[in-house]
Amino acid sequence: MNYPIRCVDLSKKFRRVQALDHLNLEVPEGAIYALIGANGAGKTTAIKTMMNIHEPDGGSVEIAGKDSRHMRGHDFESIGYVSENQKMPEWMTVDYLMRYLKPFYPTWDDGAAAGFIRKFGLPGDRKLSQLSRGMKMKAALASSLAYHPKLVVLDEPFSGLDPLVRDEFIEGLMESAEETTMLISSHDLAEIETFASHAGYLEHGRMQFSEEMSSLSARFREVEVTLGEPTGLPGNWPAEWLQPQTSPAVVRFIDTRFDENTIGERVRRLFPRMTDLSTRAMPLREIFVALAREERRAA
Amino acid sequence: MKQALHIFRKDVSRFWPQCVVVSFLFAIYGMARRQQTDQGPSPPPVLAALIAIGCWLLIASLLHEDSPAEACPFWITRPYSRMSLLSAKLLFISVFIFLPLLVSDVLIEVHSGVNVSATAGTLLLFDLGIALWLILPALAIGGVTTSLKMFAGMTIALFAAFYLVTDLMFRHLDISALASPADMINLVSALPMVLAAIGAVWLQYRARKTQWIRASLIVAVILSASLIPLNGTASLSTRILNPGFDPDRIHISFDDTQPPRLDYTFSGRGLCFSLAVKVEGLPPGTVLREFGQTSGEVRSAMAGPREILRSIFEETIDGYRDLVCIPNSTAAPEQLRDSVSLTVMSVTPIAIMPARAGILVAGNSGRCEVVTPFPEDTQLRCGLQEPLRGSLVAGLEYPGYRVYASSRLLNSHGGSVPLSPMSFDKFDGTSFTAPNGWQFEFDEALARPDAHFVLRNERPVGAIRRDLVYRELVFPWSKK
Repeated sequence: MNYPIRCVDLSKKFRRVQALDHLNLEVPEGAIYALIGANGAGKTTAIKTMMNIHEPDGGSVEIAGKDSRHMRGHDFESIGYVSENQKMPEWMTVDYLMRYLKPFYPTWDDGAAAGFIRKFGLPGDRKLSQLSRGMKMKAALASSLAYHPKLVVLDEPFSGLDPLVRDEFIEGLMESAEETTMLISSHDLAEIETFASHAGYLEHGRMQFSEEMSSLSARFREVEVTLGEPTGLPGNWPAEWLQPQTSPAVVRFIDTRFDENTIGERVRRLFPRMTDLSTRAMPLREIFVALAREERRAA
Repeated sequence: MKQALHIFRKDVSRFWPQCVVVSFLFAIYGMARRQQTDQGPSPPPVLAALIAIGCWLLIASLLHEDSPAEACPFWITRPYSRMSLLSAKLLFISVFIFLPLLVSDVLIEVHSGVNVSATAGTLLLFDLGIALWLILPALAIGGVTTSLKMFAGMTIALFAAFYLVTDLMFRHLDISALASPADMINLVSALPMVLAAIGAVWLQYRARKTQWIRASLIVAVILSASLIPLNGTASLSTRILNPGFDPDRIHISFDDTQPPRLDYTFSGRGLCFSLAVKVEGLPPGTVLREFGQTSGEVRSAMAGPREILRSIFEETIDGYRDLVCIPNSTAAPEQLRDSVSLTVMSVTPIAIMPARAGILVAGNSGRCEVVTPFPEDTQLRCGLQEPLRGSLVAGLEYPGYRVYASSRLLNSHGGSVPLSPMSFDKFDGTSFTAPNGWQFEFDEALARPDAHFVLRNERPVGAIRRDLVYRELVFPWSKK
């Protein structure tokens, strides 16, 4: 398989803060990869290192097979990058921005650019400084998709956008999804879940898991066990069962390695007086919250 | 190159109002200078300051537009070639700052009748020299800052560091050893700053090492400031710029074989003697000019040491003489010691013109005119704009007579008049007055067909300091 983004033991330190700690990440070609994690987990640092904005202290990043440290000018002809942290030429109008960027990209498509401007409802004669934050992000996205990039990297693109703008933004993204690989860091898990094909969870600069969304949703379940009589938690509680909660005759927990063939047997082993067992699939947001809480508890 | 031009065009769209302001300032300055060469008033100094500030702000804004110091600039993830980006910025600065400077100088030259093609090379070099400090520091500081506020802060900090360190060094060193203005900022001491600035620009655009480059700029400024007061750097600069010059070969002493001439009394407090000076080993084509403070004392067997009142080292038709004023004394022979600081100047004749009234053509170098603003002080006023390193000196000569305006950069306003607004050391549009005026000499010269004015360029090649000792100076009355 081809991996347009591959991080191997990537490390980055800012003074005493270890922002990335031997991060390993592979984004398969054609994937829409959601990079999730709490604030300060290292998502933006990871993305900036991939884009050669930061230089890694250890390990390496390969972007389309090229060491990120050697990425220069024309390597960005097929990469689209949108970030809320990026400084935009605010004095330019939307039309001027498009006209200005066109000569930099051999694959620039005027039709696509016009289409995105129309779709996003961007006022062509308005300066970027006069646009709202959401409109600016849409202008940045339009200018990053108009040349049909093979790789699109979006750093927190949805934060602060109202639902309508977010939907338009995602629709715009989806139009290019077939021809490109995307890496998206976001807190907006409910939205990302609807279109991401892969997810990676970053914690303290380390990748905790990285897998396809389908396998992720399959292995996380909220489990509710009904007991015949009130019972406490047994001492040999499995590490993969997170956040156990007990009420007199009910025990709830999150199974991080759910297997519907074995769950009944495993629960019965701990709770012989179990009378009922129910499981519920978890949305990405709940998985993320559960993991974040566990992380905080462990800390 | 195509990409550089594309970025250049974008910058023109962005900064054309600022460019108009800077070009307007250059034009105003040029017009003021043109008026000055027609004996009008000098441009106000604030105009030169405005040009400098305008240029620095324009350069900083230009660099901040696509800042290499920004944490996440727009261009960094776009297909910009970093060298194209730098080329675009340099092209912009060349077109909107260097070119107006050059054009303004050329227009003034044309107005003054200077042969522009004959002086094109030196003018270009000269203006490149100006660009070194008008453009390069702003380029280096602008490259490692992200806003005008930060730019101003760092500029002030670097200037403060420079002056604090220089001041500190001067307090702990014997600065009397510095004998020429060339010593104040010499090639060797300026080198760390210049190299650091060039390196900073190149490295920042190539590798974006903002913190390291900021630190290296500060270190370079401190290093340069520390080197300025050191005699070694001044003499090393002299040797580099003038490989054949060896100050140790120049021997200067009072010529005991010629009797001292009593010149005039010094406000009733003393007497002034003109003493012949013997100079040996002076390289051909060079002369000596006094620079800076001299000091000296007289002493005798009967009286202790007393400071001399005045000392003027001058070139005369009879050779070099030291005019020394000493306190009144009835003592027996006095011993005089005079420490003189001298600059060795190379002399290049520029034009020889007949000494007559009216407009005179000074070869390729423009026009001169004999004017008489005051009855007692005839002046030779030249609207010269020739780009020279060093100063222009005018002299009046005829057989048996030779007098030169003694001061460097002498002009009717008592200071140097630069051509380019940033120039310190360039002559133009000045007038020459011989010491105490040329009235009598000029009247006599007008009656002589063999009298002529000589214009020459004097360029400092090195500095020396010598102690001259006259063993037995006898006062007229003590002689009796």
